[in-house]
Amino acid sequence: MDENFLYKVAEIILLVSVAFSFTRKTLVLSQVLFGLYLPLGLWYIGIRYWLALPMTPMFMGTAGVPPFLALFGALYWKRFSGEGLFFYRSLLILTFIIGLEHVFFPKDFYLPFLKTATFFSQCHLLFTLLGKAALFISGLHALDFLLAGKTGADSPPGRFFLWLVIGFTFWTLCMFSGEAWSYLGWGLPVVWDDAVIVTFMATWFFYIALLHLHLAGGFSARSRAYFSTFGCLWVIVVNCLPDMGPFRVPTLF
Amino acid sequence: MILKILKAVWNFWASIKLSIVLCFLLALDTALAYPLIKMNLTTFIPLGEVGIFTWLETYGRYNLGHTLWFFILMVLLTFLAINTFVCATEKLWHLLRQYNYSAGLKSLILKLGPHVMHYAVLVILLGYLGSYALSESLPGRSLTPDGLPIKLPRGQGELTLSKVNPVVYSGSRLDFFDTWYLDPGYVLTYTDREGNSESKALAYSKSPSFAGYRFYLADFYPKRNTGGGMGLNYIKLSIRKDPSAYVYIGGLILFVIGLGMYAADIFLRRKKKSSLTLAKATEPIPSEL
Repeated sequence: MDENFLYKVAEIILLVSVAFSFTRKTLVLSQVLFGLYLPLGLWYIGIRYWLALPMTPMFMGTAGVPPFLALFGALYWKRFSGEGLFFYRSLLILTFIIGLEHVFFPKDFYLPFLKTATFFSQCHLLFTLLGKAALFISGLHALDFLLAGKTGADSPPGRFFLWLVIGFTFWTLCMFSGEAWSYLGWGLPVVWDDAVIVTFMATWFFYIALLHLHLAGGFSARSRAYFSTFGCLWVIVVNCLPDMGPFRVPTLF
Repeated sequence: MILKILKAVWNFWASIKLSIVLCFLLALDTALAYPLIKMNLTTFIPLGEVGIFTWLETYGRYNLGHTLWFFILMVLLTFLAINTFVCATEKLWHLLRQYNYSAGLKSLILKLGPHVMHYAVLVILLGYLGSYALSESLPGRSLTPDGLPIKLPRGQGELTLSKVNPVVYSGSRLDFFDTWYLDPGYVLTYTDREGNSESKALAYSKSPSFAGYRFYLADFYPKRNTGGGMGLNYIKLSIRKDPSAYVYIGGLILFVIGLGMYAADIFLRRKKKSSLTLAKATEPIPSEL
């Protein structure tokens, strides 16, 4: 099956799931569709890897995020119908929006290159995907804390901090595996042939600052939540937009 | 008086709020650098070859419009290094003085995680500086299989190339790659001035080292196994001598160890907290006794 066809079908399923999540009557149907989206999304990632192996698939750093985002979000599936409804809806919407990047601005016309056929290159991509997804989950919990707080918050500050630590850990591993790959392939920790390298650094520094905001004391849970929510926007602008290709009118086949 | 000034200076650099401000500024600086690098790649690519100080004096100085962010990065990283050292040292000193040693050493070791990470950042920065400032780079050397050798500087020996077991792409998943070499199967042989030889495999993912130099495969021809014996047949090598690489690699490993210790500490604390809550919840209510 063509991987891009699969991605678009998954995106349509997600759109219907978003629409159904807004009424109580169709909420279960929305969750069923969300459950269907998850294996389709992961299947897409599997196909991309299978096609590229032993090299690393190119420009999947954003297209591959939504399935992992949905996977991490699904860890809270028991709460989706109750207190976690706001989190569920925002998870669906964010997953859908990030997926739109690959539908309207695909960058899938690049073939993998031989220097990516290494363990560290594979690790770099995988940790990028996991890192972005975990940082988005942290931001969504923070948003939940800010907006749904009065009506029974399901996201205490400890939860968005925990995902912040998980996301930062993945991001650090993504940066370090990238540096190890760079050292083994080019002999330098930072190769300046690709400008994207600085966007990884930018997000690393941003989240170091955010971690210190949490640990320093003297900053209220609300102000920390604002920063964590802003982190979602930061990752989209700094780390997802550079992955955008030229605009293309999407077709299913 | 002098002591007071020193203490004020120390306290200024030990501020965690300063770390937050510096990190946000670094984030902003590097994020804004993206379009500047993308539009001026040729200015930044030589950074790895000519060394940082030469680059700053030449490419950096005469293209300030799109390299100013790099000068700001250098200043901010210097401030961050000072701040990290002072802040981490002060916090470590407090921890070691105030720790209840009867609680056991395991907990203390896990609590050292953040400090290990902070010192690791310093080691990494030092390694990067050493790598960009002190490394020796010999770019653009070519070799042909079983052809003439290339000589290393200062009479440190010579290198020859042979082709042994190339690996051809056999996935048939990407048509374009059919018959392409995944691993060209080169072997690099180093002969020192006494005539002793040593051979090691060379590929994109295998960079052998001899006499303190590391050899990177920059490019090779032919790319495909077309069966004919005609056409280009050579490799491009990039040669580097960079002892600082071990410093930043050590720093990266140290940071990951520290991060693991910190994550384990958080995990154990959460586990302890939840088991305490559970014990409290299952405790019989006094009135029921």
